[in-house]
Amino acid sequence: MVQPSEAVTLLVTLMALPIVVSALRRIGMSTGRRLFVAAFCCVIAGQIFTILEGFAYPDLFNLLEHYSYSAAGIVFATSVLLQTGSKIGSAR
Amino acid sequence: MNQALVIAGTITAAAFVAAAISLLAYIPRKWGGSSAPMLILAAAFMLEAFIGFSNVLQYAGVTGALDLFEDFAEILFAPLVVFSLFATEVQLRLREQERASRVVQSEHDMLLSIVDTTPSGILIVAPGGHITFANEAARSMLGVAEDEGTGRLTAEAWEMTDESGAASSLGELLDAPEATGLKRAIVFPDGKRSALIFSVTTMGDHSSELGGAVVAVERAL
Repeated sequence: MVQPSEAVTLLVTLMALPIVVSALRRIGMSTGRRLFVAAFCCVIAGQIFTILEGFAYPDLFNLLEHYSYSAAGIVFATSVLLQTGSKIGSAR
Repeated sequence: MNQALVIAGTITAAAFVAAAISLLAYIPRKWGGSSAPMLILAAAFMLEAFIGFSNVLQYAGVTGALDLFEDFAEILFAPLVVFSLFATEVQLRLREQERASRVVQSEHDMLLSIVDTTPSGILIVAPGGHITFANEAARSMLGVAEDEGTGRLTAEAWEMTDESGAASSLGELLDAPEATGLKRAIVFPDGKRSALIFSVTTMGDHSSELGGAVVAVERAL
């Protein structure tokens, strides 16, 4: 069973993905850009698993959902550290 | 199963908090712009950290009260990320424009300084014979001044003659494009005489906006 809020959330995030990719390219964020996009994709994966757990294998998809968000957090943190680390390094 | 979910929630919360703190630790002072885009992105990360924290509380059996707010937090994440990236891009573009504008202004000031301090007179004469620009040396040699009423540049009512003594004018010089070393004599209204050498270069063609000619003036020895 699909919750309306889950479907809308996934739709909004999917629409945001190409915008995020093109914006990162125009900003000229080279260091950590791919990681940032990968982390965003992990968030999308988590939202997909949220919807799938309503149809089959609820425990498995629930677990995958939460670890997708965990992976997203780790990859976002790495991406930000790489980007800010390079800027701070150049500032010094 | 619940233990695995608590671990996942803890990792999520900790990782997103770390991302937010890393972002806030780098405030773009160098950029000279505001840190609003970074704050917006950090807020997006904190929303995800909140979701992780809510899941920890839920699966650890503490409380499920925060579960209601998870949907709102999830739906806000993507728009906040997009908005922060766009705000960053706008800041960068504005900064580039300001930098380019400063460079152009600096070059303009330098060129103006060169034109104004050169000992040779430089005039720009429009197709009709009107003076549209005159540097300091040209204003001194030809008695050019700005009319207080109209703001237009006008020369004193001198009379110009060529080498043969025939009457001449600035407008006539435009009929001799790319000419150099044109000797002319000028008699000012107060009787003062001045021998000058003119060199003319056309500026664009007469149909273009610029039109007219650049005239260089030197005092004849």
